[in-house]
Amino acid sequence: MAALSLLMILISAAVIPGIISITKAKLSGRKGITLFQPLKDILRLFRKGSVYSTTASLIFQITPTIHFAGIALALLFLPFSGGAGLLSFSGDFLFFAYLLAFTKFMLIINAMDTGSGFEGMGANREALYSMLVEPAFFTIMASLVLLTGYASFQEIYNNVHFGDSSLSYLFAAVSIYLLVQIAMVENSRLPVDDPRTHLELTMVHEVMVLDNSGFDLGLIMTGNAFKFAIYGNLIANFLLPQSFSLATNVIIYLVVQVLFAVIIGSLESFRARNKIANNPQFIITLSSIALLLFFSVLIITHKLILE
Amino acid sequence: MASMESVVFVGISIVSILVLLIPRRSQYYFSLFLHVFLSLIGFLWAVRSLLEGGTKIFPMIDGVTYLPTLTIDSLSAFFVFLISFGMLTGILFAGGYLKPYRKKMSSLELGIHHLAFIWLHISMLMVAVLREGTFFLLAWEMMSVSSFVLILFEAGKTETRLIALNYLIQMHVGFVLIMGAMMYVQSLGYAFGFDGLAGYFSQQPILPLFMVFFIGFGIKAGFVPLHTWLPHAHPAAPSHVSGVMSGVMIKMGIYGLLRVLTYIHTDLYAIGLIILGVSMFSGLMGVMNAITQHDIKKLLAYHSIENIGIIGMGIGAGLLGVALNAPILAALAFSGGILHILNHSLFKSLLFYGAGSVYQATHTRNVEQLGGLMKSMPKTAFLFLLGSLSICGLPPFNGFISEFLIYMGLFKGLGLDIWYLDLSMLASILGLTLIGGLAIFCFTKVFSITFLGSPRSPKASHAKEVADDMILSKVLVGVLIVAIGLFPNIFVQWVAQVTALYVPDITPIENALPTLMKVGIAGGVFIVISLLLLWVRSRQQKQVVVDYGPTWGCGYTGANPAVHQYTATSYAHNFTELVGPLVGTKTHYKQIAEEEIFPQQRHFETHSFDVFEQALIDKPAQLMRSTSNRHESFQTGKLTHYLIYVFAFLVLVFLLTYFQIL
Amino acid sequence: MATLLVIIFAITLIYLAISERPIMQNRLLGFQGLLLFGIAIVQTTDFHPSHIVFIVSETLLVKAIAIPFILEWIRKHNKVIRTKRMVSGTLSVVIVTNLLIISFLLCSNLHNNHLQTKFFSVATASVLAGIFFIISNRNVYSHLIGYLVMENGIFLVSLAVGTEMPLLINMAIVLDIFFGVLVLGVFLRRVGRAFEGTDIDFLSNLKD
Repeated sequence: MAALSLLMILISAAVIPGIISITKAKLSGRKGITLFQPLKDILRLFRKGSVYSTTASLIFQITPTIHFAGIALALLFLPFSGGAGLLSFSGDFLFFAYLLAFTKFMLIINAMDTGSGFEGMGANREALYSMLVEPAFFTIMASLVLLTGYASFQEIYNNVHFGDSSLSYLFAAVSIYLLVQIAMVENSRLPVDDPRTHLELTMVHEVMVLDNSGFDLGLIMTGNAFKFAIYGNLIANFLLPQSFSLATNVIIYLVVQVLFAVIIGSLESFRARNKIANNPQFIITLSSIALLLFFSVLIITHKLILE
Repeated sequence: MASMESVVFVGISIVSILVLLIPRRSQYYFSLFLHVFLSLIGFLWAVRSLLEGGTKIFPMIDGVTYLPTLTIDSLSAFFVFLISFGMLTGILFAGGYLKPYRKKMSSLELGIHHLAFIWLHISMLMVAVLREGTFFLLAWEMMSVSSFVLILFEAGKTETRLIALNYLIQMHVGFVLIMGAMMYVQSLGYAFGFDGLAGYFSQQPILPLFMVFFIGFGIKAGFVPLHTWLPHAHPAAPSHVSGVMSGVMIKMGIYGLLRVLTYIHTDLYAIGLIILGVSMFSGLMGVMNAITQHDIKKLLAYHSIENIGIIGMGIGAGLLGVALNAPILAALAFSGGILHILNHSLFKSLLFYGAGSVYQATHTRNVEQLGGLMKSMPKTAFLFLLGSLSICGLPPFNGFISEFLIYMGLFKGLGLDIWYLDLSMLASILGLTLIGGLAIFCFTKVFSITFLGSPRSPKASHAKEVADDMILSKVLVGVLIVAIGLFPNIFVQWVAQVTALYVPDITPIENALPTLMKVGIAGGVFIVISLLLLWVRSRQQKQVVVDYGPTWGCGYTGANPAVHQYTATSYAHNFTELVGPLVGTKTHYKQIAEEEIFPQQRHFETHSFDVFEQALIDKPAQLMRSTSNRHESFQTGKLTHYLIYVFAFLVLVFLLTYFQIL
Repeated sequence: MATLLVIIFAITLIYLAISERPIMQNRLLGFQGLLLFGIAIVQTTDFHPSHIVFIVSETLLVKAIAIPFILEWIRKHNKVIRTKRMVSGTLSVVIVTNLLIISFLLCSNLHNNHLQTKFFSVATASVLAGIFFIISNRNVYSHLIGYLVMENGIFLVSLAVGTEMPLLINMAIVLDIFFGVLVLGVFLRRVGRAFEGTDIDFLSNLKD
């Protein structure tokens, strides 16, 4: 079961970047790339040589690898359709969140090692935004722990019931909405960061990984794809009912992941990027809404009695 | 029970004065010898308490009644271990650090310094094991005075003298509060010292006296707003002293608080909430102020304040759990707080030793003048990176384990019946999350600007790696950091013995041990996967063409590459704009006006200050000074005027007695 | 169902806090009107046709359709494209969130048989948030928006206090809204033409 979970995530990670690009292309009236083109790009990068900056030190060479190792380990925590991931214990979402923070740390020092003002700027902005979005994720997890009484991914998803009250539908809808937004912020997509901009002063993540080439760049791009798949997995698990068979759940899961990619592509096509100075308030809004979510859980569990 | 080691202990305290008579070259080795003996005694006490459990009471020297009795329970043993390990790494580091000073300072100066260091060790051990009032207060005072002498290492500078004086005054304010509280307890008829508190707290109102103790010990520990001495004292002191002060000495404030708490069994709800609230505030204020600093050691001092906040949050949440009968919250959060005491002393001393090595190599603490030290000081840089990763609480190191325990306690505390407690649990969780995120922000800044990129000044480009004995102490600490991260169970079981003094039911800790083992395994898997991938990468790199070139500068080829790097101020600017008035920064810069077509040369300076220090100390002091200046006119210096004052006073007394007011 | 709608109403308040463009604010107000329509329909126990007509007309027609239409007309005629704030966006979000939390906390202690706290808490938050929008924005146009948010809040209070909608209160609210919109709409144009724009700093020129 855990191996199946891993396989599902790998399949999703392979197709999500392609689907996002194709969606954006179709919505802009362009022809678009083929589905597996990003995968082929990454494989080609793994075979290429690299150019390193003379300012950079050993840190520059080892951090992308450690970053990728962290994301790969985070994959092992995710459950699928009631079964646990390869690593599962009470409180694993804490390890998961802090592991992703570790990978961010690695990328930031990777960027600062080049001694370039551009990369420093990107690293700085990335550090601030990921710091601001953490409370939103933790509030959602706290709401889930309060709702179900359990503290590991597998047990939480096993015990989330909808239909107890109309508020639980609200809970599901708003948490999925928030998870989509958090995924956009953490993967540095619109409206926080535009991956297609070519002006370094307006970039956040793209400029942070500017100097990486070859194997390192391949690892970073694979890491990006995995992170999308991770958030897609978190969302899909909300929608996998226990009662259906395993095969049905596999299909529903893949459909949800594809839908997730399509939604991200559509959101990216129709939104403009925020003014950089307005990004912090956008991200803090996510935490505010998550706080309201927590209140609604208090109401669902009848602790906060509102007649 | 006779105790050989306490006799040796007394012997060492008497022999230590001899360090003043020894020539410079051997002073260090004599001091090292004494410290190693003291640490061995400490380890012996700690291990014996761990293996045998319970409380041991024995006199210092059999038969001599005017020397105190030592009482070692699991709490004391834990702190004794902390002190011994901390001072051991401190003296190992001091060897390399003090070598350059041997040529500049006289034998007497160095001798006094070593004597003070030995007495700091002795007094801290005494504070941890003495219960009787007079002796405890004596040991506490000795601790303050010896650290005062240690801060005055470079007493030639006026600034150092003022800072040391500020430190001494604040320590004495705390001392007066503690002594006053103990004397009050004695005046009511109980014993003088900690033993009298047992009777007091069972019969008298708890909260007021607890607050006095909290403020008194809190000044030592560094809770906000009592922390204002910390960011000045730590940079002024030499690095081995800062490492020991930050890693061990401020924990003695926490020790005092914990010792007082062992006697309190009721009224824990209010106390838990107060400690939780103050600690969360300290944690957030500490780390926010740390981001705006550019002096490495001042920044690390603010991080100590932040971590004391985390420790306090664990303790406060644990006490809240005891009061609300929530055993999981109580046991896990409390253990997390206690484990964090050990963890913090480890990574903070590592970071301070790293900062000390950097200072020795570059002679500056200003981060804006450093850079590129990774290439010239790789061992120091990697150890500093290890310290940074663990202070941010990232797996697989020890900081994550203690934060994990506190988080698990808080998350499991979410199921309580009352909903506003759920809100306070959520607030604590979010507080911890923000503190962690801010710590990552700050330490990526410090590490990157100090060690990565290109050197920003000649001081940085001429740096060389420090001597091996300074590396050794850091490696020792690093080993323990990784060990706690990968094998947490042994340490958590030990901490559980300390928690048992406060929390009646510690079974949740035993239930959590399998989870912690899985955390350790996950950390180990992470390290294995990283190493595997690094091996794969090195194979790939051998098969492809690898080239080197300068960093792409978007067409700017003329300037020195160090000039358009990111600076520490720019890195922090993002954040300081967001929080505004909460952290104090002042910018001195004249904007270029619209009419100025050919701008003149400009000077840009930012300056950060502590909002609490300004509001609580600077402003009242200025007010006092200005008020007394206004009354200066009464002191004319003329004898006739003073005679008139005396005469007027006599008339006043006569009139008051006449009208029977006096 | 009603709780769900009222929590979505609270979320729109947060989005109003960060919005800088009046187009977005108009749309949010329209959406709030739609939500109020939903709440009113779910809450009615008396399915008398005249009652239904009145509810539909007041909430759906007036609040959700007519008022955003009129606001859009006012906005275009006065060429108000963006409003600036006196407090930063981050601080506004934090303040509005705190207002929501405080009103939840305060109202949870109210136990009255005639009071429905789930509406009352969001209603008080809405009134306070409306006052906050009026204070913190630099444009006179935003005074109108804040005023309308307050009116939505008062409407929610009337829902909270009774299961039936007292006819008199609702007539008063509709009258209030129309006069506010009309007066401000008509005079905004003249104000805008008399001074160089609709920034409130210009209004301080009126001082003697």
